[in-house]
Amino acid sequence: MSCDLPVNAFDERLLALLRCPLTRSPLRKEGDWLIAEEGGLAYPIRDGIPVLLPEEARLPEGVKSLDELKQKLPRR
Amino acid sequence: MNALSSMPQSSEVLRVLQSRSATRAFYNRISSFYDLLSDRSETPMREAALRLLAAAEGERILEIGFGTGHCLVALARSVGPTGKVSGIDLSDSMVELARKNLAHEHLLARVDLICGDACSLPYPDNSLDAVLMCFTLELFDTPEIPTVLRQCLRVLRPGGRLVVASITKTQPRGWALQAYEWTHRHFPNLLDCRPIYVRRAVAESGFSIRRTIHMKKWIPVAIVLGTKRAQEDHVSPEPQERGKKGV
Repeated sequence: MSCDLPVNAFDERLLALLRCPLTRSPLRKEGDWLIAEEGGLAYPIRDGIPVLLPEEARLPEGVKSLDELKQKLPRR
Repeated sequence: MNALSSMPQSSEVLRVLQSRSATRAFYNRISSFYDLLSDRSETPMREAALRLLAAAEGERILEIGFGTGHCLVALARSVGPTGKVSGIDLSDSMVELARKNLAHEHLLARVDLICGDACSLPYPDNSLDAVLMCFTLELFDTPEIPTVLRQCLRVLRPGGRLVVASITKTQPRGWALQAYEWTHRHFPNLLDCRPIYVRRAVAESGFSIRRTIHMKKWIPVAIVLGTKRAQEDHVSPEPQERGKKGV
């Protein structure tokens, strides 16, 4: 197949198919990070692989812990 | 035999005491020789599970816990160039290995792989035609099993299929099952999975059971096909990690 991607490439079309595992909000790509629309957790893309584990995500500015972020999120 | 005879004759499913990060580290460590440990014994069950799932051209399919990616390759061939296969695994080393195997088969363009946790699937509601889990559900601790299955129900479209292959408990337990449970109980780091009541778990999570196949590696295995009922077009349980308050 001629449409093969390089092994360690992140396919940006994947963004439409993924959600933040914590808030289920869409994600946007910024460099090597996927940022959740709601809550602002930043999930790393390592060697082209999205790591969608809240425990491994970068917290948004001003938030000290994942528990604090969970408390701040609105009820659904 | 003394050890076996002293085991409790319990019908209860054993707990999984290993933490998620320990499980992740374990599979990262063994990824390079995982196929040597599991491939021969699991291959007939994986093939039966794939036949039961019957992936069709153009479908969007998720495999949870894909390991080195044998089923991903088969699924990618079945869905063809118009379909899409997604894979989620807790171990980033497994993701890397599976990606290399898919690239070798020139199938990478049909498959999206991510590292994540099935207790909180990072996919939209009602977005998938089918979900496959082969020898993965029994790795989750007992309270997490319904959480994982309800997540599957959430991401499947109405009428969507779930196939789960798992080592299964039987009554009465045979000697092999007793030995297996004894090993899990005493050496949980060596044998991290344990037999569960897989058909019952799938049914109790809201799926309609369509078929169950019983096989044996050296302990009993059940392969269950369930479907999401048509009226359940939006099942949205709260993510487990948000705690009691929910959000």
